[in-house]
Amino acid sequence: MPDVMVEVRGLAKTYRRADGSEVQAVRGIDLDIYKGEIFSMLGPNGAGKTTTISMISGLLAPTAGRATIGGFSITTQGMQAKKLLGVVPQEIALYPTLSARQNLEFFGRMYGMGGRELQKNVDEVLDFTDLKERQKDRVETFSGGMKRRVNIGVGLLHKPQLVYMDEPTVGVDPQSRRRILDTVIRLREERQMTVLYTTHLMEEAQELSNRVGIVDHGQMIALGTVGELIQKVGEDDRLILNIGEQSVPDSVRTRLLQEVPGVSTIEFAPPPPTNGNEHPANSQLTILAQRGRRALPVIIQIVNEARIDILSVEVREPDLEAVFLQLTGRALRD
Amino acid sequence: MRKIWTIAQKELYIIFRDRNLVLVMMAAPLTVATLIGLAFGGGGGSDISIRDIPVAIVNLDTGANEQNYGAVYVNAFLPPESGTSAPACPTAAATTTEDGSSATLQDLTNAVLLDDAAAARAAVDAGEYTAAIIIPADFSARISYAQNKPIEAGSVEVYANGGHAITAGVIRSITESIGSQIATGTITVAATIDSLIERARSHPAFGLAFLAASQNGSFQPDFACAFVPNLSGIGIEQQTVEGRSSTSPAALLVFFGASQAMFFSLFMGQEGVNSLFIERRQGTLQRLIISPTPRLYILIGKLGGTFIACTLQLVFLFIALTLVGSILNGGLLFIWGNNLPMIGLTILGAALAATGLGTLMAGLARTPEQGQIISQLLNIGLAALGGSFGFQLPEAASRFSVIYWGADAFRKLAAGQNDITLNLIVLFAHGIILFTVGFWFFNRRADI
Repeated sequence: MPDVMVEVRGLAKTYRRADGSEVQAVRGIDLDIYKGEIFSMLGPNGAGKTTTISMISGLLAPTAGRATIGGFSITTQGMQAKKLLGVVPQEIALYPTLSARQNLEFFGRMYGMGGRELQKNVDEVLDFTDLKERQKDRVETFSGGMKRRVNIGVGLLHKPQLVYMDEPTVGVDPQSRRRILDTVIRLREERQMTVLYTTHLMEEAQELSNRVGIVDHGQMIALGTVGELIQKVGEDDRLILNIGEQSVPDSVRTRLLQEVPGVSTIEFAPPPPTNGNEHPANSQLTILAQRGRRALPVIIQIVNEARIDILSVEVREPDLEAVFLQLTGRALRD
Repeated sequence: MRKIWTIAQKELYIIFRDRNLVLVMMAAPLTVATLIGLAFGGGGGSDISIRDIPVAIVNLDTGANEQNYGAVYVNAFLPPESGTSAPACPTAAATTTEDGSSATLQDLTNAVLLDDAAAARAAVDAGEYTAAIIIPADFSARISYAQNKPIEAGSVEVYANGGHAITAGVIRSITESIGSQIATGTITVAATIDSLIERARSHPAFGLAFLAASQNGSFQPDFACAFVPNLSGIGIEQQTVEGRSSTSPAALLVFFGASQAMFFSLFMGQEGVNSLFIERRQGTLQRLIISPTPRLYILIGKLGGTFIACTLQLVFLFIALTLVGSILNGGLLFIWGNNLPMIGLTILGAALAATGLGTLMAGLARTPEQGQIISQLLNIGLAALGGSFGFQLPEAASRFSVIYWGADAFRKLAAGQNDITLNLIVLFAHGIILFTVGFWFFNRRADI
């Protein structure tokens, strides 16, 4: 049994609205994260990922339940627990008028570092993030990718045992994204750090993670390795039919379920709203089916008979997206 | 403590790196106060009431011919019962302020009679008195009239504290004025007696009648009132306290500099606390909370930085206004006096009050925009109440404004009055109470 780095039991958070009603953002999550693993928490926006992590990191007080980091309770032994934790928030959380080095030094001091140890760690992080040449420049003059790297560097500065990265690739260019993903892998390979990674991009979770937890509506609905989770949906392929701006009547769904062997789930996603200038996106009909390629001709026939024009068809092997679709009845991007 | 200081240092660094903020917080109050001083200093501006100037009087005059002219000074500054030989004259040295209220010299000064000239000088040096008026032992002997004895020049020493140039100048002016009056009175008495003698010589019958009247007591000349300022029939242009003040740009700089400094320190307090919202928005506050740093340290560090910034702002304004005031005054003028410990305490109290008010706003407001709007309205309201805009509301209303208490303390110190205990209590209590309440509100909603 591997050592547990993070232990979460019955963690819950309830917010009270202005009208007095309550919203349950997190509904009793249980979770163990092992030392040295990359654990990805996957879920759509608003699923409760950030709230859960905010409670684990001591930013929010839980309404119920408990969380420990390295054996220290985040609520009763917060200072000890926080020393073990490095955080890389989703948004850039830096002082724009300070230089990269000043930002690193300031946050380093907040973790109790000083003197030579601080300077040594700052130099290491600047090397690691490839920012040595720009260390004295104000952060506000940096590109988005460089800011991201400083943002990550602050989280790694005190050499934490656990690093929490909250959707660090949101809004970055492909080159910077690749660099960030490589950094995460290096943290595990070179520094044996435990990484808690949240994302709504299943490709990232699939590439990086030793284990994945899927969160929806404030609950952990699935937990395991990528392979274990995919097994939950069996060998189902995911067929994605792009159908322009058309809708799908219930009669078509019924026929697909009844007449096509192996179809288990059907999900229709209307096109997202546009601001009027953009070209409208396509509606998508997503179908989970065993041996999807074989079932495809029958599916196309039924859809065509309903006078729905199919613009394109994609067939995807089983993945985490399919897992989420099967568990929740909707796509992860919703 | 190291973390608190690190946070405060970072706050100061960010505040003072913002050139626009520094320009507004430092240059604006200095410019406004200077412009008002120059614009209204040539006359026509509102008068500044100076009262209770602490003065020491040392009358060493031994008198001559049963007259003690030094007592004229004593009687002018002190209530009659405290004098050695009070003249039975109507109200002495009454002056009228421009708002129509009457003020006697006793209202304008807070005089104390001392015996020892050296002790009086030492007390002036210590800042206890703005000036000491020292009348020498031979003063009456030199200026008194006697037949076949010429009137000599007499001098009175005014030993002034350089830190209170304006109020010391007022005392010097009054002293000169009284000296002129005594000289006039002496000449009047001499001329009267000479004319009586001359008339007796030319009209022996008058001489005999005058001699008889003198012997039976029906002629009792009383020349004392001739030496009392403002009662003499011979006009001497006397520079009043109000007259002096209204024509002095430096005095207006004291008045407006104090209120502008207080007004802008509130903005500095507000600006610093707004950084809490900015940090929350840019995510750095969350990052600080996630670090192993207690929330209380974070708040104290941030507000400590604001407090230090407010203090530095007021210190800067004290120095800058002193420089400008000295230029306008034509000599060194410590704008809020030279009692540096009390000035320091007042600055600390004012900075604490400004920070406390900012903390309360940070605790009450839900957004930075809301905080800024409410704070600005509140600051302007307090400035109007406290007299920062050039008009003074009734004192009862002004007392509701922290600006009043700070500016009043600075003005009192400028006038050489050190009794600002109540001002300090109000400023410190204001700061501590508002900080505590604001902190409670802020911490209550610190779920970020």
